[in-house]
Amino acid sequence: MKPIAAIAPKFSWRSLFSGLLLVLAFLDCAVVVALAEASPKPSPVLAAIRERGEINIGLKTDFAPFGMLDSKGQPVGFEVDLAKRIAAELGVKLKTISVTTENRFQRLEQGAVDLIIATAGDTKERRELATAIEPNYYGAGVNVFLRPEAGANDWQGIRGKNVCALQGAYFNRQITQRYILDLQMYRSVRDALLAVKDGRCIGFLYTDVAIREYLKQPEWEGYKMSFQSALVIPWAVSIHRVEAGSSLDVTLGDLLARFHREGVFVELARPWGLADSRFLQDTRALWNLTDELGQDVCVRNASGSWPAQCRNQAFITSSDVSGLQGVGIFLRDTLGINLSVIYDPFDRGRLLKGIFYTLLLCVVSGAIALLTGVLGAIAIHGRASLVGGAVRIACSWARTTPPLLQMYMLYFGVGSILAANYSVIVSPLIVALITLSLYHGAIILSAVSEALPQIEKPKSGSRFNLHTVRLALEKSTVGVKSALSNLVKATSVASAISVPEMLSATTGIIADQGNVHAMMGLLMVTFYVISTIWMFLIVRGEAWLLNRDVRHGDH
Amino acid sequence: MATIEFLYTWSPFMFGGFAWNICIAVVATVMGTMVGAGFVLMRLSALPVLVNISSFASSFFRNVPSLVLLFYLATLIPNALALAEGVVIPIPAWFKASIALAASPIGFTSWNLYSSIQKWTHDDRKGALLFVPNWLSGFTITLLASSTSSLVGVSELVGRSNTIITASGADWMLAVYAYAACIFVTFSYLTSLVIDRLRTVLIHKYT
Repeated sequence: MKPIAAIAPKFSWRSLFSGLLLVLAFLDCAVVVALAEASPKPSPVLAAIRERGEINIGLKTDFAPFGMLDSKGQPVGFEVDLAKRIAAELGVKLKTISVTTENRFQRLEQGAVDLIIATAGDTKERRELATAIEPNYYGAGVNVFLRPEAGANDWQGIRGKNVCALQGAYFNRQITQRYILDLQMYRSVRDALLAVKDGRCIGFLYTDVAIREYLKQPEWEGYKMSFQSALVIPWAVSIHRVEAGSSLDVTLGDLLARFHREGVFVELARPWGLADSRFLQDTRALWNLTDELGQDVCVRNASGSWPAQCRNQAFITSSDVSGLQGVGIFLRDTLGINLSVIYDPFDRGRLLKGIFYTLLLCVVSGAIALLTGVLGAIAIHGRASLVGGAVRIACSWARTTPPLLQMYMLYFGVGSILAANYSVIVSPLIVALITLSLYHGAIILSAVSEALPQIEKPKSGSRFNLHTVRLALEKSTVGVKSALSNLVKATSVASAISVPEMLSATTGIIADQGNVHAMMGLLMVTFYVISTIWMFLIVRGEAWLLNRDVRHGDH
Repeated sequence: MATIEFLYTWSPFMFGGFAWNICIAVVATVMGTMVGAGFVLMRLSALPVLVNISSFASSFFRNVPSLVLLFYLATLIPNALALAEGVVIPIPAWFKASIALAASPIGFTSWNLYSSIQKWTHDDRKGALLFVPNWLSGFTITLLASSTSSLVGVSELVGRSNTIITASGADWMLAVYAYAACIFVTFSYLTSLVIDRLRTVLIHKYT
């Protein structure tokens, strides 16, 4: 057996520093070829529209006053009028296709519609699924449709309260995290409204535009919307994701820009009672801005994109500021190291809690993984071949699915089913423990079960007793040790499902203090130390096991 | 049926994501192997300074979680490098992820290549060449780990699964996740067949 020093060489600050320098040196070698995009590429979709003389636009029919059906079953609404206007400007006929929140991006991806104007908020995720046309055509925020007796006047007033919400709405998670609400998820707007009416929750978390519509109806007399809208997100006309930068993208963008400049949007919005929209007014003013020479400010630059100030501001701030902050942080940290955990008790508490959770994850899932591995190996080589087969399949599944994906499946997938049907709230810690135990248990299982058949069958008694298992563990010690040492590193994945372990404690502190380098350095050193101690304990455990075996053999 | 149609629709999107996983894992493994081999060369040199640096770096890369490096590099490396006036090289997130995930192959190579070389010089061809199948298993582990790059905004398979779920509603969640898991499991299974075959061939040839 190798002494511990062979596994972890002597620690010194100088060698840590030289190691970090090495990391930086090899990062500097990273070179990527630049991909420049110039004039708009041809658009197959636009060509097809022109050839057919018809444009297929996906519209909603359940979201008044944007898209709904009139008494003759014809789609009407602000978005429908916008669709008609776009078709007219392109000189083609309009074919409306009804889409829903669930299938709008699917229809776009399938090519069933050329574009969607379907109350789709312009979010980062959605920009991966589709190309959002800039400028945006409307903007809506999130609010709560409150029951008459609810006394709250701001978001803080409903902290911890039961609020109905729509499943799949993009704002649910952010609002929950920001205002600590207890959301009751419903599958449709109708169900959620029924629940509010039944008093099963104090209000319905939804977009302010929709709530404004409900308030007009006599059915909801006394109901109110008394908060300031949160998370105001502009809406975008979307086309297929591969059409980014194409002539369709540019044509539509130019068209929508002209609509803003000429007040077409305000005019289209008027019949639907939306003309006073703050978003439309502000955007109209923005697109009519001129510089000191009287030139329009919002014109496409050489690369074909709009200037930053004319783009979706929320969007730019979320991606660009982090880069700027990164530079600022870098400058500040070249002047001094800000280890806030040393002077700030709150940060220190967070980090210590993180270390505690990381250790907890290591110890508990390490123990369960060992147990699972050994029991699983016995099951595979045992008499019941059916059980063995099932364990074998489960093992290869657990070993070859990324732990992160397993955690998502258990926490969000199974967790939401349990919460919805049995009101069981699964704790993220339990999910992390299960996942880490299964993943590493499966690796240990493979190692042990490869070794088990090599062990001679004892003359009497079962083939699998404590003695043979110990021999198998001894034979598979390299695989088992590497799985257990990997476990320490894998615990950081639990941060993805909100377990407050070291990585999430560190990122939390960085978010408040901006001390990226100091905290990340500290985190790496802490992991290094924990790994070293952990391996030391494992090697001691191994020695203990072998010694016991010798004693056992002596008897 | 609706589930199958749904998954069928998004299959190209999801497989496109998986291609990123493979790309990240390949780039990480290639870079990691080269850097790891560099450390082995340093260790083989007679200079004590180089040997010390090499052994520290080797243990550093084996003990620090790639996810921590992933988060760190995402902020540390700028999004673009300005080499000269007008020459700006963008550094995409997936490449940063590849660098972070190279930690594990660096650790693996610097640790195992050294002993393989020693075995080779002692005429233990079998022991030395077993480096190759083990290296391939390391690649599979890196592939699984590449899913964590979704946490820093790389649009790979797990990230795209979340994207689809966010956009289409939680009803599809288990189906989408299970489908993503199937893709990982199938690919790992195929790789393990290659690894087992390679191992058997090596053992037969040199026994």
